[in-house]
Amino acid sequence: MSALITLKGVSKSFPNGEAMIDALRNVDFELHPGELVALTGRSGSGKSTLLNVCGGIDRADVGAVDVAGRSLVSATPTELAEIRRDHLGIVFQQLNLIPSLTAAENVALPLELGGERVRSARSKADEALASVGLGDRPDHFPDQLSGGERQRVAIARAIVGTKRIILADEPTGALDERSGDQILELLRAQADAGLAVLIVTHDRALAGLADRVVDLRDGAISSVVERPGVDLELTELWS
Amino acid sequence: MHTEYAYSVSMGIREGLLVLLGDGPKYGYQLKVDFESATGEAWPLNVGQVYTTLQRLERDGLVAEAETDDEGRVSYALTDGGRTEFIDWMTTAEKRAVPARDEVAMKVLLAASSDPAAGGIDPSIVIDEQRRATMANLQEYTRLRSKTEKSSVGVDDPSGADELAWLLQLDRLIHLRQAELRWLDDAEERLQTAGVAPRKRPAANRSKNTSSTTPDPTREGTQS
Repeated sequence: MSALITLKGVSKSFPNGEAMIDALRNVDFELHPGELVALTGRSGSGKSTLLNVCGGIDRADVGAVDVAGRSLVSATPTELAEIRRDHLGIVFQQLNLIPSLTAAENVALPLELGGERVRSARSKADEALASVGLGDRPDHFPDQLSGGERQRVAIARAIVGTKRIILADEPTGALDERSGDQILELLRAQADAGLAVLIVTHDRALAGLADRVVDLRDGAISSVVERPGVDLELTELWS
Repeated sequence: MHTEYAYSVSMGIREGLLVLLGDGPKYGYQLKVDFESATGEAWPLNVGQVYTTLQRLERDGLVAEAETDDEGRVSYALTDGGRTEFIDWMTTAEKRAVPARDEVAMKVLLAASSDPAAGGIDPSIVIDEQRRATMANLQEYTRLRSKTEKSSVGVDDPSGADELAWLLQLDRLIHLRQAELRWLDDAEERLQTAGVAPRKRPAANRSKNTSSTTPDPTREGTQS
């Protein structure tokens, strides 16, 4: 299957006082449907910048960035907004849920802002909430939900409608271990259902569910670990 | 890993057989099958080991021959002494000795004390290489677990108890690998702070699957 996100030769610098800092240096990267990829590395390694470039939040200085077959590099701000609305669901560690709206209203909001009718947006929101296991509490407000449930609302908002890509920056960072595991399982399930999922985590130990673990160091990809495709024999585990 | 395996097998069999006999008399082959099923087949036993162990337990007065069936198989039952011993074993927490020679730890520690300038090895190479292998291992266990969970039919099914044992084993292995990854990350940071691991910059124009002998180039203060 062809890639949903393709980066070729991407570099990105930020000013730091007088100097420029290379956040990304000549990075090639692809994200495919049905795949969960973890970006790992220390703070300062460039992993969040890579995610932000994929999401059109930061623009690449050099190189090609294609999302769902469209170039982000040549897109106008309006086109960029369209691409993000139609294809990209973004989940942050800080949830950005609106406290005065219910779970379902929060999820439906991006659709309504995109011009969709309230009723149809609401029914899609209910579907998305059901798929993250919150079908029974569409009318709860964020402060009536646990941290893990709020993060699930944020994921429902990221996948509502026809989006095929989820980008998540430290999605478990603010959660206790068990809720964090549930969120990762949920993202894994989205990938198994055919979405392309990219998560940033500073904790490599959390990346076990990923199909590919891409480690960044100093703005460049320093290693890639692919999940082995064959089953180990049980006895091999111990010998 | 090999030493871990041999060690585990020899230490738990005696007590394991006592525990299994707690549900009633069994003969040797039955004990072998029950032991393997209860432990997720992680520690295979050969039937000879089972019979030797049973003989020792009988000698020590912890089990006694119960009956011989038509096919001549002798089943064994716990004596009162055996029951006391099994309950004592189960309800006494294991004291862990300082882990004997873990090869991963040994490599990292030895690399940290070697001097690359004098022909020794850069510890960050050792850490990188191990991290990759441990991660691949963790991914595999995680995948096996989610596959087993999806195919899980519940404990009512005859294979359900086996699956439960297997899932418990996988949980344990996953936690061990996660702990190792966290330790490797911490070790790298500690070595850098101590000035042991060099902070080289990576070669420019690096792409996927770069050679594994990457020196550690982490630089603080960049945008992430």
